[in-house]
Amino acid sequence: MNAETRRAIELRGVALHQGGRSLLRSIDLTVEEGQACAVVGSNGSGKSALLRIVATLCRPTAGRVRVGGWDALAYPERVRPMIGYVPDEPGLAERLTPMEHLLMVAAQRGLGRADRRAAAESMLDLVDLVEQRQSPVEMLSRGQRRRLAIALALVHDPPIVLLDEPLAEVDEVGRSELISVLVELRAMGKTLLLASQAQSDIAEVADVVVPLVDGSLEPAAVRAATSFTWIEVLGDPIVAVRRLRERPGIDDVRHEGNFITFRGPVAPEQRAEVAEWLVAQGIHLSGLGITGTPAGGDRP
Amino acid sequence: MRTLALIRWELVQAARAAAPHVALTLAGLASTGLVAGGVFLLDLWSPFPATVNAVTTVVWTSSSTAPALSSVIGEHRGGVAYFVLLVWFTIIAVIVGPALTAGALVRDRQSGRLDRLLADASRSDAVVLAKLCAGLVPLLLVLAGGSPSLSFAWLVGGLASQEAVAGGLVLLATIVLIVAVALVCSAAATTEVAALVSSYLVLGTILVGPLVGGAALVLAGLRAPASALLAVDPLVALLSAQSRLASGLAGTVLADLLSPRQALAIGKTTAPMWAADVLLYLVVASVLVWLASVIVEPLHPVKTWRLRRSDGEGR
Repeated sequence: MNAETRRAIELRGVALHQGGRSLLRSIDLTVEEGQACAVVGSNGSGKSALLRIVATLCRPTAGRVRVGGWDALAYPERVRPMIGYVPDEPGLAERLTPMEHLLMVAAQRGLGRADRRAAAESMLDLVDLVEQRQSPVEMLSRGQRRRLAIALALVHDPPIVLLDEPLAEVDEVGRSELISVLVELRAMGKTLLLASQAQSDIAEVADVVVPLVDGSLEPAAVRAATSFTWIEVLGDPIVAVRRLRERPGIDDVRHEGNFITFRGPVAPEQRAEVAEWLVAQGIHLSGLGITGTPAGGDRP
Repeated sequence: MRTLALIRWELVQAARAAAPHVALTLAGLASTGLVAGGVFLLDLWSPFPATVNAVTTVVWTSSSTAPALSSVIGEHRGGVAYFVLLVWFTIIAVIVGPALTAGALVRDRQSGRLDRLLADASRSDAVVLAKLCAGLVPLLLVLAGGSPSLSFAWLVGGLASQEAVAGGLVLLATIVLIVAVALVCSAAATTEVAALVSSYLVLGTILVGPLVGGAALVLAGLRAPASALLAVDPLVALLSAQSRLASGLAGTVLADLLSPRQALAIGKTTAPMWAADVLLYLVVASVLVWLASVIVEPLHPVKTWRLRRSDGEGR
């Protein structure tokens, strides 16, 4: 296990000015591989603009963006295959069927003829649209359209998925169906970056919640939603558990053998600081990362 | 392969959106086939002989210049009919082409579909090429529906098959240019109305501009540049494609007003002007398509070359 997790998305000093207005101001954000990060803010706070920048569909006025290690602004053609993007408006063709949509996107994404149908079938199964596979999109409900949009974003099996308002204007039934799809994506190890107006919408999915107010991130308010930091220690875990419980800002410390989980700071730098502090306390680590399950549950 | 998939997708959408229209066009094509068969039979037996100079000398006797013009028109009436019909087709294409294409990228941008297409296709030139085809194919089908009217040219005297093919090629290249203009206007405009209006303005300038400019240059005594400018006009190119008709007209009163260049000499090679025009229209259309792809792609290499240069390998 690597002590240092890889960064899937990294924004540094990203700003966007359009029409004399500042949509985004000096955004610094890091999303690690396998993490589900939710950007939460009201209408016009800049969430969609942020996602479009990461999706290489909008050029920021200033700043750098790295996705999967690539400079996303200089090499969008390298980044786009790594991303599945679900825009706020699904942009579906009303007269075509979900199956036709999926086969077309699979072809565009470069899947071989033999693989396209299998990928499409698998996606229909994932988003529970098998029965509607041959119905024109105009016959689908809003929730079903959202699910189809998610399926289209996933048909090429991207490691990073960007979802803009995935639960907006969806009824209660559709909402629970969509949440189960998002939870399944997380379980598949996808890196998720979600934009949402309400934290309650994505509480069951997101590891980290990032508030965005008038185009600015509030670093102090960045918090873990449901995730735990995990460490694996060499030697006696009890000392590490005790030290962690004594440290301010850390709670819910649990352990199972040498595997310890706790709630606390989620920024990579802050977690690295905790790790260094433990090492300074004479505790040797063999691994560090994040998980949605506390110790005693399934191992990551 | 990816671009072909995108083109197929756009065409399937267009077909589903206007199935009755496609059915009508297919009916038009079927009637074209019937008329083609009829023309073949007429070619074996036609009530009109190809050369009827005597008719015109009877009608035009009062003017020193008119008889010559009418004589040429009478002699080449099949070519004249074909030319007039192609001009009519060009005008239809100028009206219908932007209506089919100018909104394509604007609508997709507003509905968020352009984002999806760019994200899925990875390359904006594939998206724009698919849009070009999606605009081009319905327009060609509409014009194909009217193609039976071309039989009129054979009914009144006919024309050489080479001239018919040349005129068809000029029309085809003009149509590609029309759709490309509408597409680049669609890429640059923020509303459908703006895209449509700007398309009509640009196309109007392309169709009428050289004629007006050429006439102005003639009046200014600059006949050589006037000749070159007139030659690039799509309507004049259609006329140039009827080489015998164009040569005939060159000896009439029109020669004093309009005298477009008939051939282009490059080194020791001389090409007919209509062929040079076809090439010119296709090159300009290609440049416009590329320009549209630059406009719609926010991170096109043209816009980010500094970043690429400064970032080396990018990771």
